[in-house]
Amino acid sequence: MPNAPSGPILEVRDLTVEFKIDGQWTPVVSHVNLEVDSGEILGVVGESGSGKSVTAYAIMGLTSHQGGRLAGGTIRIAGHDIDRQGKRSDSIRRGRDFAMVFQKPMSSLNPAYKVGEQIAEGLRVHLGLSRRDAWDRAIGLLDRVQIPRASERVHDYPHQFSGGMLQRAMIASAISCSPGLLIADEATTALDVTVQAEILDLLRDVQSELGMAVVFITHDLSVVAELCTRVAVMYSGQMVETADVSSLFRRPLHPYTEGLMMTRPSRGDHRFATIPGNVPMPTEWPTGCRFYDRCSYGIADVCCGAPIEESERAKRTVRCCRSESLTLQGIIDRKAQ
Amino acid sequence: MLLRGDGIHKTFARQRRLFRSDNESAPALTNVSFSLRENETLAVVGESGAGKSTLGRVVAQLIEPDAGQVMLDDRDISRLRGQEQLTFRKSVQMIFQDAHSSLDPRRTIGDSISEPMLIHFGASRAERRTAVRDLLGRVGLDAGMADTLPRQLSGGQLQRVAIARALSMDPRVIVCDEPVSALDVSVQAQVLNLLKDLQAERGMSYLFITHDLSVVEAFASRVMVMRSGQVIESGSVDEIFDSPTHDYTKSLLASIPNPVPKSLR
Amino acid sequence: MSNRLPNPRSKQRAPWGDGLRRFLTDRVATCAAITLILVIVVVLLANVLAPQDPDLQDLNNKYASPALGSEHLLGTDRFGRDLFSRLLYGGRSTILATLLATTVGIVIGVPAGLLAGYFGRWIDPFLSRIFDGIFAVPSLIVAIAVIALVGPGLVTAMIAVGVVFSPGFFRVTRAATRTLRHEAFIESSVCIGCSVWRIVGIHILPNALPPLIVQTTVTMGHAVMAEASLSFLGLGTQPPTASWGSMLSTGFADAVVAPHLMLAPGIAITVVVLALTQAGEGVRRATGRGLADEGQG
Repeated sequence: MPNAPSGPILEVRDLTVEFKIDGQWTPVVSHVNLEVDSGEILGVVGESGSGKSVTAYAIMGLTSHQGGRLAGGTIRIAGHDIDRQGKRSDSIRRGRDFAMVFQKPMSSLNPAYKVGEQIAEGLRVHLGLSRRDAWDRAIGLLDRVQIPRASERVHDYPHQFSGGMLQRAMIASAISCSPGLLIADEATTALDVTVQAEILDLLRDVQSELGMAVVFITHDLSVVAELCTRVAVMYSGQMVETADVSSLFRRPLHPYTEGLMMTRPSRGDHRFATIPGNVPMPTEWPTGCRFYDRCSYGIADVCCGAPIEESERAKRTVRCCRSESLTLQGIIDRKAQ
Repeated sequence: MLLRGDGIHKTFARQRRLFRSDNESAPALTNVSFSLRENETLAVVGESGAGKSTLGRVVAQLIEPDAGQVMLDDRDISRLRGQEQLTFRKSVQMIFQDAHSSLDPRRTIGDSISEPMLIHFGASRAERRTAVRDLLGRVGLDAGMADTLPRQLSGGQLQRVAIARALSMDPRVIVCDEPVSALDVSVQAQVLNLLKDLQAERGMSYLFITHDLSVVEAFASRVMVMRSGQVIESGSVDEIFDSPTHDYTKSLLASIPNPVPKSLR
Repeated sequence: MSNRLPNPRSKQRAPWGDGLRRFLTDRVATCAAITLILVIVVVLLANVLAPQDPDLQDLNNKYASPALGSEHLLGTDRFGRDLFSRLLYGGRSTILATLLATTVGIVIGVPAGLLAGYFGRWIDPFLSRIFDGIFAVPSLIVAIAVIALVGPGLVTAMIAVGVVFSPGFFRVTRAATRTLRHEAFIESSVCIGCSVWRIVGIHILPNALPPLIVQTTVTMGHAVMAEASLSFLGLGTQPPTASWGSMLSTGFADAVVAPHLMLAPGIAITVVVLALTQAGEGVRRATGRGLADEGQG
């Protein structure tokens, strides 16, 4: 990783991404701000329609590949502006300096090539290693991610691995060039719960060894509680709250975050707490607060009409015009009920 | 005892499954037994490959077991044919994980919901229209949705449609195969509440298949843990969650991510 | 509990209506469809539109050149017969022949495909081998063989051609059925008590239609060519009946003397085949994308 000027390793400012819906370019992510410091593990939480995956792909420069376009904002990794087309440059390079792990390992690896070859490919392209060296390094990496009999498994094809093993291989591939930033897009969602626990342990392990920043995208708040140091909550294409994990879980500032914590089912519940309604489609986003329709604290005069701005207080940001006057419940209060 | 499974065995012929190279010829179910009372929810938990979906399909008469029986009111329903099977289909229904693909994309919601009425009761068009309206209301959907297509609705709404369709036959047991796993967290609770209400109203029983243990804790009264086609342990929710006896159950419970961060515990 | 009505823009539209709307926005496909409709209408009204009797010979007026405003719009052939009238009546033969061959192909191939795709087990390999056999034989050879046995005639020839086209329909139907067979809504239909016939007829077949429609239009294009080829060889329509293929054939014989004789039927065949394939492509584009409509994640 090139020597970054002091400052966050990832800086996203005012990001807007558009996709064609019903023939019209429509924003699916609007004015998102995000900052990740070196060595931090940031959890990005949101449900469907939140735009969390789209944001991840935008950071990786894969938006046009998905059929979308960047309609505004900047993305800086280690101080370098990521070109809109995500072109390779020598100062900052995808795969070498920042990498991604995807949700479904089976579809992210080429079924026609051995796993070892795919890991070695990155090493040869980015670090200029010889075939031999790259192959040896690949075996070492598989070992590092605790795949047993790495020197044999390196010759296997993706379909010969189980889901969990394949995800480990993907992580091995992603960290092969020791990137400063790793983005994991729902990396454990498709895995069994015991395997998920192992992968989270692995990520924690690898992160502390390499000192890299991790952006962990998920819909599961509990995983964030387990793994992350900071949290960013997204809803309907906007960042609605960011904070460090303790503060967020002790006392959230946004009603949606509170809702997410409250809807976690718990034994003895006669009725589950819900967030009524549905997530609105990007084509139906109102001008005012996008959560207003489902919010139990909304006041029409204040919340509708004008776009809600992000406000910052004590290293936390929140996008709610009533956050000053609300005292919301955290996870401890929930458990105590 | 409303529903009972006795020693169910099932092995599939060599399947060419792309994503599971390890257990190609292992039996899907080995000596599985369970019991389900009226007005009760039995959760079947386990990881992928545990055989829970296969069990669900055996109970819903979609697959015939190689050995063993499924008894409904002391009557074997696992190998019925023809008219007899048709009669008992009304009693045991199933809702699937992906509500969207469980509905015919080319037929309206109303047609999908009323199809069982046509098949089992030969209901007239007017009767069906009325019934559809009632059912939609019961599951919390607008009556006007009867003429919409599946792709116009959200996952949560579609799952309610699937429930409405199952209800049209007045079943006594509903096999729920991961019914909320594919839904957003904020919507899961809505569907679970609906299922709870319907159970209280109609005294139905649920065979609730899931891998999400936190839902089980709150929703079910009894739990059965499965692995590789076998029953590892079963008991009440309190027993299993507070004092699991088997190592596998313990490791399963230990893997659930704790919703309270370390710093606040 | 909030239950939003779905987006009013997409309210209450059956899948057919939606596909139709998408088709109509596709200019090429719509042009192709209009062309086909025009051709069919004109040809059906041949007895009204044709200025002359297509079989009426006028040996004093052989090989007349095309001349707008004259008695013979497109000229005359070696027997002095009006080319324009023959073109219109010939179109009837060609189009009916095409429909016949295609229908035979569908009637044989589609039900077999549904059975093979749905039941699998031994039925699938059994039927597949039969259709593989038919597929292996070049269509014209079969047609010629049948004609050798039964005698020339357009109807027999086109039925034989239809049999030869059936593997295409079989394969498309079988593939679609096999895919749909494993969809959750089919399992769900079994669960609620649908009979096999109901599942195949009401749930599988309508969902298998998009690729079938495309296969139909493509096959029709091939059928037009097959008819033209057979008639060209003298094995299809028999003189004096006109068809585009036979017109092409006689025109070929007189190519040195009157090259214009081949133009009219040649262009007609080309236009129809082109329109058929483009319309088919249009259907594929209109219906294919529609089924994959999902929201953003």
